[in-house]
Amino acid sequence: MAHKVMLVDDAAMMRLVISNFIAPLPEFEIVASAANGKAALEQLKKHPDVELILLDIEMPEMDGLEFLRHAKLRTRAKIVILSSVAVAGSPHAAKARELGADAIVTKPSGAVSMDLADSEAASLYKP
Amino acid sequence: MSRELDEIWALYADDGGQSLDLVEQSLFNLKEAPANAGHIAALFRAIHTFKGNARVLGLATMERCAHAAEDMIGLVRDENVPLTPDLLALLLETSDVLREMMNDSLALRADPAPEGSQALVDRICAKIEECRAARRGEPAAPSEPEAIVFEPVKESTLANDTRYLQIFAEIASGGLDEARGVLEKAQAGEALDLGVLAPALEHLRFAAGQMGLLGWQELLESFLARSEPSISDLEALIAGMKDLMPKDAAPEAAQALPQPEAPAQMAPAGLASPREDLGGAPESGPATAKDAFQDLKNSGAEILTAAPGQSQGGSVLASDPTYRAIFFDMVHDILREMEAALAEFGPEAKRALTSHVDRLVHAAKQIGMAGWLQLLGEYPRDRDLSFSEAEAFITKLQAQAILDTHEKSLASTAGEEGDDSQVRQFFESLPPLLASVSSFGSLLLGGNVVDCAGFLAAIAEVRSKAAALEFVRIADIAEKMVEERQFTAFRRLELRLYEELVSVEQAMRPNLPKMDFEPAAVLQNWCADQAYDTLIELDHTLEEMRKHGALAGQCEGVAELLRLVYYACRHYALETAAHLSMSLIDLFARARDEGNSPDPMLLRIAKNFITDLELLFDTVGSGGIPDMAEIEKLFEEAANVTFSANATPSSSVIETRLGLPKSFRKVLTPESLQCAMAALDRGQRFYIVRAALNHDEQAADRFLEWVNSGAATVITNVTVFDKKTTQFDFLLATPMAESQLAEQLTSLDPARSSLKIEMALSGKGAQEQAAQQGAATRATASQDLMPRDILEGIGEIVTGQAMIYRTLGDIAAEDLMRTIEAEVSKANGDWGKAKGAVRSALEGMAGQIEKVYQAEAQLGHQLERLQEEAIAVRARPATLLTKPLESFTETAARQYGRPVQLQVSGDDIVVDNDMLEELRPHLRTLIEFCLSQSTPASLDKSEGGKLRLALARNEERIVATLDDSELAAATIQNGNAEALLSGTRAALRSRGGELRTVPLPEKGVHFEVILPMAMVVLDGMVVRVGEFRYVVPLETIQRIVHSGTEDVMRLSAEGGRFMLKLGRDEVLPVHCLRDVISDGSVQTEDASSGHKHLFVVVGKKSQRVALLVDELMGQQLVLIRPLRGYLTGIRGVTGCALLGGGDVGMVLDIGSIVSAAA
Repeated sequence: MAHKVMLVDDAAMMRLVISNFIAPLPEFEIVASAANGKAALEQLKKHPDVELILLDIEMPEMDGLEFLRHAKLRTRAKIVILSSVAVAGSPHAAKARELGADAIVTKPSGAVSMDLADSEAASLYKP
Repeated sequence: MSRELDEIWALYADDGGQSLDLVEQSLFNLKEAPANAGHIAALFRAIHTFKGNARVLGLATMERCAHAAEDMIGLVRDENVPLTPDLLALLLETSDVLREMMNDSLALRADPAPEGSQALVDRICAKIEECRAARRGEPAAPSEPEAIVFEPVKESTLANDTRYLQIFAEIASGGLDEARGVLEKAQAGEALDLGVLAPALEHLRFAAGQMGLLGWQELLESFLARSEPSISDLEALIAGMKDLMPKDAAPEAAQALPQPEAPAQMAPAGLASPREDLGGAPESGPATAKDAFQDLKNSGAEILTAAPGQSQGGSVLASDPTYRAIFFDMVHDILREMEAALAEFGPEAKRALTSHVDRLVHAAKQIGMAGWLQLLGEYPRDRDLSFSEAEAFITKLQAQAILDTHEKSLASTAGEEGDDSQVRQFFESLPPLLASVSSFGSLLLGGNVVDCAGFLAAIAEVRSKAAALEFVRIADIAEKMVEERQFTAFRRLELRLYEELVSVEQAMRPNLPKMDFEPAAVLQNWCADQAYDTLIELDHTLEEMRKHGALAGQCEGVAELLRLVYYACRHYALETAAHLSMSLIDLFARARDEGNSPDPMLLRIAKNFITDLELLFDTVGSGGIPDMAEIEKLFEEAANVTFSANATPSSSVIETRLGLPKSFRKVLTPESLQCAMAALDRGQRFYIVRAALNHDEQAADRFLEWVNSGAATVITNVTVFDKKTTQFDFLLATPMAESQLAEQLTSLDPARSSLKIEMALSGKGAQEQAAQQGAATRATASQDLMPRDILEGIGEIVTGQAMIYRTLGDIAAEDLMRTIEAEVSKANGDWGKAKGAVRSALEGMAGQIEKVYQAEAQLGHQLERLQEEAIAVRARPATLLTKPLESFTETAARQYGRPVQLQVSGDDIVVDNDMLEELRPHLRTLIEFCLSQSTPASLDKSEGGKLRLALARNEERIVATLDDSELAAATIQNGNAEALLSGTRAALRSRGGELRTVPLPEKGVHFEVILPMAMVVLDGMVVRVGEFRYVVPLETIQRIVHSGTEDVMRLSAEGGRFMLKLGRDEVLPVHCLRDVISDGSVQTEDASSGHKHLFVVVGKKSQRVALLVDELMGQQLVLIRPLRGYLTGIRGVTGCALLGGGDVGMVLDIGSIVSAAA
């Protein structure tokens, strides 16, 4: 059974890049995606069985950290921050850890040049 | 190893004995003053130190016993449990048992058998439970019959029962009358006589305890704990009693009875006063809720001037759906107005924003929205608001409003209106359940679980209630706890349970009224209690990682411990330190995720952090002002550690060079920096391209393809929110000129609606400057590494040692006798013929021995050089000490209202880092003492006087003087000063140092902090006296004298003191070094026994002394180490040093020897 994944990123291009990366991996299945935290909370209600959430931080309406604060209460899903602003040891990363992020990955060199082969996303989820 | 172990056990004996002495001394002091916080803190630290030492040696039985005692002291320190005679007796008994156990463990070098102390530990645990039960108003445990004096009745029954309350009010009224009577007499000039009053108050205190009226209980306990209460104490008591009695109280009227108080929780320190939350709906007000809020919305300035806390109905209104709906209507209206103000940002808009925030604050107060009040409290009122700050603040409010009002409430279970009240009910039900869970955990530690029915019922209730609210993580943890019986794992789950509760508390905060039970406060208190243990464990783990690399699970372990540190920091309100904890957690967690060992720099930062924290906790715990300079520095280092580890310049270097806008600050990763550096190396240009690609898939695809073709490199990107659309700013590097790039972008986006050049960044000279700054940054990073010279020195020593080893091997293999016999035999026994060959063989051997000698001499020289270099690496400028002290003074001066700055001189000296760290807390204590003890009356109205700090050092000691021109001389002569400075005095004395306080002639006080130098290299003359070796600092030696008996004279005065006659006119006192060790018993026969004596004349000009010695052993560079343990009591020495041949020599303090002789 593939693990159910939700993507939360306001950049359509980033969602596309990540989807393209995950699609060939049999152990994962993207069941939902959202462009901001508020929409993601809605999606979470529709898909309570999501097991992994890949979450951007900087998003309009409700950012990733606010989503994390609320989503964490009522989901068992592992929440992984995937953001270019979550530099190791930075205030953003620290805040995400405080709110209970399970892992943090800094987007390498911007969304467009993200080299899927080098991405650490493959090792994010260890059931 | 055996020698190291011997040393460790010796240290354990020494430190353990000192700790237990301190325990006894503190208990003795507490007998006299049971409520003295200083004595209690000293007691806690002493037992804590003892426990830590036992743990280091793996003495689990002793650790357990000390731990139990520590818990009991913790009750007194943190939970306001009075230190009653029976608690004191139990602690004294524990102290005796611990000493006995320590002696046994020293004899056996093993942990004593647990049977000897188990009964005591059980009694302590039972006592702790009894005290906690009493605090909760619960019946005491049946195993302690003496605790059940009266039939206990549930607090809730009594405190809510009007009959009991009426009886209590009558007793209280009587007590109050008694107190007033005594006060009147005392004010009329009579002696303060508590003879009649004390039993009445004791009776009242007991009644309050039975009733669970904690406010009364604390007030009375505090007064009764005073050994000699003053008139003002009595006045405060009466005021407190009046405060607890309603103003219009008539004892006979039920409605005028004292208010019931909430039961105590696990961490009383974190609880708000229960009375703050009492009350119901407003007594009067608008006819309907709608009216009320319409009034509120329309009232403008009138509302803003309403007194805070006027409405007492928060807890009820906040959960009333009608009031909530009105409140959020208002929030949305005001947020719209705030957005409008933001659009025309300027001075007028700022005023409008503040006004809007004030309206919201008032409305939140009226309805009791505690979380919103907290959120609104973040509005920066004390400085000029920037646009981005205003924007961020409004966004935050909007996000919260969306969450709170979104249809079917996103943040609540299923969106039912009653959800918030369900959560509130859940939280209100938790304290007794969690207390039961905690007690069960304590039983697991003792291993004496006999009945877990209570725990199972409690945890099942937590689980079912959490599950009903769909708090799945809480429910999961509770389920795991049902099965867990291993203490450590259980406590870990308990921690996680609290963390999840904190998450709920934080997320639901704006919706919930203020409650008595605050998981965050409980968790923070708990972690603060364990803070010192946590730091010790963390230090140990980090040291292991530093030496051996990270083992599996160690990064995880460090991250967990750092979480405890984080909560402890929050408890002490050390926000920067809390943030740093989280940053470190992130860095260790990433190392774990990537399967790497943490970088050495990260380990260093973490170690420095926990070292600093211990001091900070001490400072804050004792009411001082923490100096956060070091933590801020570490925070900066932590933020840059990944850059340093990758040998890339910090992001700010590139940000500055490229002139990046603010939105790109702090988003560059080491990888993106390397990308940028590479582009700079290639001489490329940098641009920011704004892309609106979310709704133009074709342009997005083309842009993606263009970048992947290598036409440009994306360094990084940031999100740009523009009204309702999201755009992205890409930082690109490309060889193209701006016009070429514009052309390319137009080809990708012919409509020119999705891609445009936002900014062309300055690239001129960037390459060279960035390269230079990069090199500088790398150089800074490499400072953490061992200097190259030292490494080379070690290499030379290793080579030299190998050469000596090889030559000695050759010498050992040479059979000289056989060679000689062979040569003699070859010459047919003719010695004359063999002589030449034999000589040659002997000379060959001598040559090899000479080679070893030279190599050994060279080795000695290299070792000395290495020692000097290592010392130089550890040396730091004193500005590292004085700069933070200046900041500290500035902050403290503001706090104490004395406008003074610290003037520093002599901070150009360089000393060992440890010396600076040793001086730091003492100087801060003195500065704070000066500031806190100067009374406004003693100060000039406009001037705060002068506070001068001067540093000086010589070979023997470092002296810091602090002169306060305004402090009254009397200030240092009273008992209060002694109490405040006793810790400093004792700490300095334990290091062979001293604190001197001298009143200045007219006004002001002069302080001198003197510390013997340590960790410095000294050029000294090693001398022998009997079996002992001493080091005389070379610079103090005037001459060496070999004199006969005729030059030694004995004075008839001054106890028959010996003098040495030098030449015709000069006579010097003789100092027998044996005195140093033999503790004053002068052995003078050597000085007059008729044969020649050797004297080393030391001192300066007129102040000189002749040291009587047996032998000069030679000159040597020595490293002075501080004295430890009982050695600190020796006078006349500054430290000890390891000498050639492995002996230890005492380094003489010539200054004090000369002064004593003068």
